[in-house]
Amino acid sequence: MSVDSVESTSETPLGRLTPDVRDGFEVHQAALRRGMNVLLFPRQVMMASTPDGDRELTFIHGIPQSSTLGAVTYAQDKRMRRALLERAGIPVPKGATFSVGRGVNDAKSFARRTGYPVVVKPAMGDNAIETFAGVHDEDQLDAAIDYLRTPPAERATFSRAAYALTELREPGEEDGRVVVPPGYRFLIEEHVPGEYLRFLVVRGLVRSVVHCFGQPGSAAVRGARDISADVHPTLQQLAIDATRALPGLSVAAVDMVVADHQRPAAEQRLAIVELSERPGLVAQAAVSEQLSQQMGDVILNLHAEETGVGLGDVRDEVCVEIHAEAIPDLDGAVEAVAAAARSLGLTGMAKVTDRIEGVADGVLQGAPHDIAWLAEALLDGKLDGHRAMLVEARQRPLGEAHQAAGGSAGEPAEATAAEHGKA
Amino acid sequence: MDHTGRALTVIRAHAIAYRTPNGGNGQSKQPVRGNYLVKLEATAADGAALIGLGEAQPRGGETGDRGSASWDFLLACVSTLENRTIDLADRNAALTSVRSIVEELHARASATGAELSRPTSLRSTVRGWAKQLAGRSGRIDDVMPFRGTLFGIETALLDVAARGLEVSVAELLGIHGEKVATSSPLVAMSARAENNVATLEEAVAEHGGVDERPLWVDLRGSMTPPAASEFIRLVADAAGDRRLPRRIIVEQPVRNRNRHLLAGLQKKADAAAASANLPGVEIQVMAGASVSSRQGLDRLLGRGGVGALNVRPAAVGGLMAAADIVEAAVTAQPGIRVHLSQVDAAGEVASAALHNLAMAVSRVDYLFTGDDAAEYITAPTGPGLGAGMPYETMVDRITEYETFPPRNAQEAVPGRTPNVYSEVPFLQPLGPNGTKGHLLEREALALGLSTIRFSKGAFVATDNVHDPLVFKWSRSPLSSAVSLALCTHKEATRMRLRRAGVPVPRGRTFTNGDYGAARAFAERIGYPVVVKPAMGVRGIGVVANIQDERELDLAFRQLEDSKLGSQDFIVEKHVTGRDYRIVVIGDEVIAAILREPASVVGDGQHSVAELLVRKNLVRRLNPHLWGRPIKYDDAARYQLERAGLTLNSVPAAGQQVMLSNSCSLSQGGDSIDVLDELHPSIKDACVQAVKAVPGLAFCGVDFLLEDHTQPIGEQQAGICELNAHAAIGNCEYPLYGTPREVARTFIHECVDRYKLVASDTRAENLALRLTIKGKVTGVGYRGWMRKRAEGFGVTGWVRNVNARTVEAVLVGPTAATSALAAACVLGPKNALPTSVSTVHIAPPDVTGFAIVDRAPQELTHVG
Repeated sequence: MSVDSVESTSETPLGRLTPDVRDGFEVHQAALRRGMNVLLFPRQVMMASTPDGDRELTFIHGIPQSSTLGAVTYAQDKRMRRALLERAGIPVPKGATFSVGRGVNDAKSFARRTGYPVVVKPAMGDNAIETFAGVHDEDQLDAAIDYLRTPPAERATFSRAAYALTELREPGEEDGRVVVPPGYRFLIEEHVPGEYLRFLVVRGLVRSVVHCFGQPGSAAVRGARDISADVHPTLQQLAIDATRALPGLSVAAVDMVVADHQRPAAEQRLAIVELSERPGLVAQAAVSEQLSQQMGDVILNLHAEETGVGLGDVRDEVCVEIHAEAIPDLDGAVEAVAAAARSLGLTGMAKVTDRIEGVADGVLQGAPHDIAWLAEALLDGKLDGHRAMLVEARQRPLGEAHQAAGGSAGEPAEATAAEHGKA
Repeated sequence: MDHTGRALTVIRAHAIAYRTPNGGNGQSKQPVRGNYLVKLEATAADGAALIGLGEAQPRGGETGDRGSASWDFLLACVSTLENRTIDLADRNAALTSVRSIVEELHARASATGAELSRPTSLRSTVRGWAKQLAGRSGRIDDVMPFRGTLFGIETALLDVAARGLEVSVAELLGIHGEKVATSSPLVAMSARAENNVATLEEAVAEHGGVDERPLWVDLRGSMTPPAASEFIRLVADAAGDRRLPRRIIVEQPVRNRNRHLLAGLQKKADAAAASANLPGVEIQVMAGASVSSRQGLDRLLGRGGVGALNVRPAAVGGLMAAADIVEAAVTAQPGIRVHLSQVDAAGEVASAALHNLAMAVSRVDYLFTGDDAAEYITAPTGPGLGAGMPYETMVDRITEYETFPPRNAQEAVPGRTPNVYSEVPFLQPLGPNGTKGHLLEREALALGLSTIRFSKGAFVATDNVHDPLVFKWSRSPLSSAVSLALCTHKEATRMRLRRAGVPVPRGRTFTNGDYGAARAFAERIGYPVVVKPAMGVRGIGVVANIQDERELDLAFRQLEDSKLGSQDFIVEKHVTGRDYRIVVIGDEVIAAILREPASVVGDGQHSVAELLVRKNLVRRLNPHLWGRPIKYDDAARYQLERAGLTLNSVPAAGQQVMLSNSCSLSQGGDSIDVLDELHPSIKDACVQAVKAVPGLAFCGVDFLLEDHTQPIGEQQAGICELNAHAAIGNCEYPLYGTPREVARTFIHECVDRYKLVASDTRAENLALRLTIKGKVTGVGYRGWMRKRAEGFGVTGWVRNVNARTVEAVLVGPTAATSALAAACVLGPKNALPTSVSTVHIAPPDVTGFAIVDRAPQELTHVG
């Protein structure tokens, strides 16, 4: 099962990873690039350890361990988030929350009083998704509310963080259609016109500012440009103050709508329209893959710094020993990993180690982002539906992949399900 | 025969409040209602023990009842019944005895009602005058309050008297009939006449078209007088065209306040029927809710009367009052049609009372019992009502239970002495899960921190120096987001803990249908094993304690047949052990409880049902368990059946009767503190497990152990779950053993970690200033608060600041004051508070609790 790596392009099929796994993926590849060993659990719980195994950095969806459970919970609740921002004197759009059960009429009169267009979004859950901006009239408002009546898990663009609150209420029913519980709430905010800016705040400093053309996280996004160098410092300070208003977030993506990003905050109409506990690097990726990758490295470095962990130099090629556990369809998964590795241009091998326990091992060498992608995809069930419950990557000296591929033929017959390497 | 001295004496009286079940199939639109059961214990002259039962149905305006005032009234009445005697010389003597007691209670009802409606403001004074004028002009009747409550007490008295005479209640009242037809009304509630007619036509078409049975429609006062006239005309037309039956009974077409128009509507109905296209069309206007007293009936008859009358015993104040009204109506107007019905949500005892009444009046055309089981009801055979304690439906739905002379709830439970907690009344308004969101705030306030609360679960606490700490339920700044993400995935938790060397049951996930691999795995880890779906809910498809490959294959089939049969599945080692919850904060085990399935312990005297009721009453005195009663469900029935018992069995003294196999406290399980007995090796394992999860500083460890006092290496043991957002109340308030200060330790850890400026000692009393924002005016917020504050023993005042802001000062003991502050984010029914901010003040000079227009004193903030 050898492949000629020359045939493969260096392009990672990132399109197959959904936007909500982007942050975890970027920090994952940054860890591999810095020579760390990586242990990945389901739903993007990632533990990166120093080569001696002494120190460990932990992330969820790319969010460092230093972000507290209380803080991420508040960031996911737009009503409380707005309340904390308002108390801190941070400008937010006029807005209010309503329930789908009894609040629709109140919502409509609120929208009329506020004046169309308005913005509609779920009151709780992942930020910057399912946002209906520029709702111009009551028909469009009805349509937005109707979309939100569909239970979240059945919506096309829904994602749910691994730490999100679980919906324990019974679903509702409407004309035979299963809908969200009547107590499900949505937020209506006035639509603030202007430039849509995304600030990445890490440990109290703005690390990147991106001007998004269209709402990030929606189909309406038409690209973005990096304005980190041009943005007025008072706007940066406002983004930092907003993050401080919600204590306990070591990373935050702050979305601000401004009239002109080069002018001071005091001289223009502006509002903080989102504040997410997730880095939201999909916005940086809309500028360039390089920027997104760089920010992943920034997050890793700053968490290493606050934890007192020293990191190695950046390397563009790594060799790792791969170990995967609790794989339901072992043979199929090993085949799928081998096929994906071939198409990514990675070298090495993969084999079944323990059929009864569902364990596979292998060695892979190549670009860190390809190895990170493979591991993320296997955990996320994206390799033809194959799934592992744990993937561990331990750094090895470069070149070991060749030896492993050559030497593995001597393993017991049961073990060699698939192997590949340079011919 | 000499009957001198034949009498019974009431020796004990019970008042029981319970929630009615909301229909058997779960589809019923019938709301859950609170009914009261009255149970009288009496002895006859010959020493025989007698029981009397009655069911009260308080239904607001319909029965003249008012929430907690009705319960208080019931207790006041029932407490006077002890030592009462009922003459059993004969039927008439018994009735006279009962009547004299009932009349006394009626007098008490009127006096209590007058007391309660004493004007408290100019507005209510004016309203009172208006009511008097309306009464004199015949617009409203001067009816007795608490009729739904009186119905229950009277029924119990009639029941015990009838049992003393060994006759049925119907015989006691005087038998008139043998068999009564049942029927149920169609309900149409549109304000528009044509819509209501359309509803009727649809229903008739659905039931196979027009037949000879009269059609009975209850309009529940939905129409204005002109619409009602229009409706009657349309109905007559429809009957003439054979779209509706020839005979139609139109109940309560107009609202109660328009009752004086009913007689006129009957005349219009007669005219419309006469001019219909078909001979024999008859439309009878029926007075229902409009007749709630003899006075109401007399006034109706005085205006010319109506064709039909529907009498509900709870709405007229009892069986005897109902019988009087029927007899008076039939005497005055011999052709009048009479129906008897229930107000909604009637239990077995109220239904039995209605059946007895139906046989004891001289005319009943239809009986509406609420279920369409039988076409006819025949005379009950007694004795008494012919009904026993309705334990089957009531045993796990009791909310209040008072006995006269009183009994101590704690002593009434055989076996270990359970804990009871004085703070329950303060915590109940927060709901069954109230402790979870409140206890941390209580302790934060007790250490002098200020708080802002956003919802029942969410608050922030601050020392006004450092950044605030944010909490939602037990999601706190102590733990990391990543720790929760890991702990909520069972397989990930297992793998992490196994790598950390902590005992976890061995197991793995298999792809759907991969039974061969699963069999090999089970063989390797060794039986017994457990099979469960990978993303399980509520134990669906779970099979435990599988002993061999044959049982494993059966388990696979069982999983396949379950709702989750299409999922991947897990096979793991079965750990034989008891179920422990061990709480770790920081690096220390600070609480541990053993959880045991619901059970009762016999005393050789009381039935399983009685023991269960008592145990649930003790659970109601526990802040964590009051909303988690032992349930009488399929699992309980199964356990009883297995033990060869029923609800009525009397277990021997000391015999433990299991009522569930689940250790979940929510399923009625017991919680027993075991912290001091916990073996150090078990504590070490818990701390090690928590340390294996990055940033986890508060955790509920679910541990299966054979014996918590023994070293972990010498027994079967396995951690099955880590709860990063565990409940706090379960260890704070164990049913048995020492309560542990989980919340206090939690907040201390937060204060230490974030170096907050806080008091070292816990304040026993608080003086707080609250600012409540949101929809809090025009909704009775201040009155609600005063009532609560008075009930809790909290002093202070409350005032409106502006249309969306209320300010309050609360001074009192920490538990009561902080609980009232927490309840402020809920407020009365129509309030929608969005935030409550709470700061500490120097205790002002306040006595009592007042509603004020402006702050009566300068407040000095402290902390």
